[in-house]
Amino acid sequence: MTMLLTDSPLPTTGLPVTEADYLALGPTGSRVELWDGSLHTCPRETPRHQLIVGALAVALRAGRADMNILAGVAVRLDPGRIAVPDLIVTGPIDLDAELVEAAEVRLVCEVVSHGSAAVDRAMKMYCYAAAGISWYLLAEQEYNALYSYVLSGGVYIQDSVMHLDGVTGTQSDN
Amino acid sequence: MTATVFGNPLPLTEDEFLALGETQQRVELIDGSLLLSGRGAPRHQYVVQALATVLRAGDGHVLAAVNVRLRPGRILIPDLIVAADIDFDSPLVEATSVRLVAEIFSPASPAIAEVLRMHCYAAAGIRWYLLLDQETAALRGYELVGERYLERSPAIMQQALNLGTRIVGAGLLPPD
Repeated sequence: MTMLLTDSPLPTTGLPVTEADYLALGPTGSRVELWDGSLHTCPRETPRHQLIVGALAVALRAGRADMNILAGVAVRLDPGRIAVPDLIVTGPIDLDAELVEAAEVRLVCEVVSHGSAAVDRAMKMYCYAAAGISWYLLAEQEYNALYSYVLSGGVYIQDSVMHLDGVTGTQSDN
Repeated sequence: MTATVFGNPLPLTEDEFLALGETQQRVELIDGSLLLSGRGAPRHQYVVQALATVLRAGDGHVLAAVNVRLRPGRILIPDLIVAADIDFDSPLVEATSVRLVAEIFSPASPAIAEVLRMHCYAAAGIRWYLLLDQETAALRGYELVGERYLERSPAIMQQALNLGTRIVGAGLLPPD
């Protein structure tokens, strides 16, 4: 299959896409995920989004050396279903693999941005649960809140809501 | 399409999205991000046409694969819509004039139709959502109540959509 996705958001031929096609894309200019043969491609993130991701990564690390906190790696949720979460927490894994398996993921975290809100709140809420990932953290910039969900009986139940206060960078005045 | 698409960095605005024109794939705009899907195998097209024929017995215009603006910056292309009072020459149909959306999906790829589209159509206030499995002919009809879709029986759908007969999924598949 011919795929041209270097800096473009769109491939030119060949949908639906297989896992092999997806992996053959290599690094892309924007975040690209594979949902059962469809591709979802999101804009690059804003500095504010990345600031929150960084702060959450530090908070999740919490001084423990037995976990990996990884940003922007591809996770196979199901054959043909590959997401690229903002953050994942895993135990020991093959650090050179091109995909992390969902079974290796203990927690997944998304920082909602405008372009990904529907996918983060609906699609990923469902698909991360279907893949058996125990915890889902959803950081909502719009509400300044961090929602945590725990897997129970195959669906996520809201566990807690925390303020996102304290995640502030150095902002110019204009 | 290559020439027009390359050099269009994300996020795309509605105008940039509409300027893509005819594309080889189903390309949809979700808040600046893009969802790219295949056009569907002949089976898919067959089932779309068969369902359209059934829906044409009822009220409204039945249209396949048109742009529907669910909200500013969110434009999906449902397999079928039933709409009233639309401008036939506009590149976009507004969600407020869409009474029903139908998606024909493959059981190998349920997540988009069953989760993402359902969420987006509900958020746009579209009253009816029909989901038809193109392999098993399983048909589910949902009516929006408040912010959620509730499943309705074929009899209720027939009455609400003013159809002559009930929709029977098995009758919509191609012959073996």
